[in-house]
Amino acid sequence: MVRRGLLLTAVVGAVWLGAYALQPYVERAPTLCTFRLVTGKPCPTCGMTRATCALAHGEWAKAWHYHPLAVPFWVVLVGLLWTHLVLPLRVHTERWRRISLRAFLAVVGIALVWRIGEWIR
Amino acid sequence: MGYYVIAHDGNRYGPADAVTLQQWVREGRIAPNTVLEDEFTGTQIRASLLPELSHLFPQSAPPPPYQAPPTPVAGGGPSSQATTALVLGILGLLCCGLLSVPALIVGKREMERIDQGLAPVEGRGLAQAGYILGIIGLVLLGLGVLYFLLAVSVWQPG
Repeated sequence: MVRRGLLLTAVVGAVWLGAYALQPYVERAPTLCTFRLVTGKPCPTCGMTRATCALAHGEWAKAWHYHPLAVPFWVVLVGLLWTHLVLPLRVHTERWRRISLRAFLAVVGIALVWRIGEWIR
Repeated sequence: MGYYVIAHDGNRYGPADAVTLQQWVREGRIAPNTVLEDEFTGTQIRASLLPELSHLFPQSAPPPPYQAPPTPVAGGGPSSQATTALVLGILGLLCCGLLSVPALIVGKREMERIDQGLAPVEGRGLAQAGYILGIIGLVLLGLGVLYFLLAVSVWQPG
């Protein structure tokens, strides 16, 4: 469990270091989002990469501008990874897996509703 | 302290604490002659001899000649986790590749739970589809990031 915890921490840390290094480039880079390429409209998680890069530099306002849900998204994503990959299989950890999955879906759902609101406007 | 459950095929499940083991006994997943292995010491013991579990087995019942495989849970349709894995897998392909990560993990975990008889077997196809879509989404995301890094390396500021 400790080894898996350290491994997950290292991977998440590497992602954030990468986000820190890529910050100057992502703002003018072409999108990788299939949905946006096809429809021209941003998908529920469009802007998350740029927001993450901004967060890695501590630029909260910029992160909020790119995606207001960047912080809760990362919190629930790391929670989901932790409960599914690090915690051993037990009754009480099963409950935490369900809770973390629902929290993740809730954040993605809110992002979806928010983006649909943007499309309509 | 937890115990691993040694299945008839040699696979180890767990470690599970006493409360979980007792629940598995009540659900018929652990037979009196199922072998349990101490999480820390590696000592193996039959379930019927473990003090925490012995009272749950009927004393008169003879031990079965072999350990039955985990009983698949059937009925009630696929679990919400299996459906979620598939939905996340599709979203990971159509929208942000980041969603492929939870699709892969939730799908894989649900497949394990189904194989252990802890979740409805009807969801296996959905969980597997979510798992595979998650892998495809991650590969595409990786290719996209490679393309992006290549573009960055030849990018001239100004």
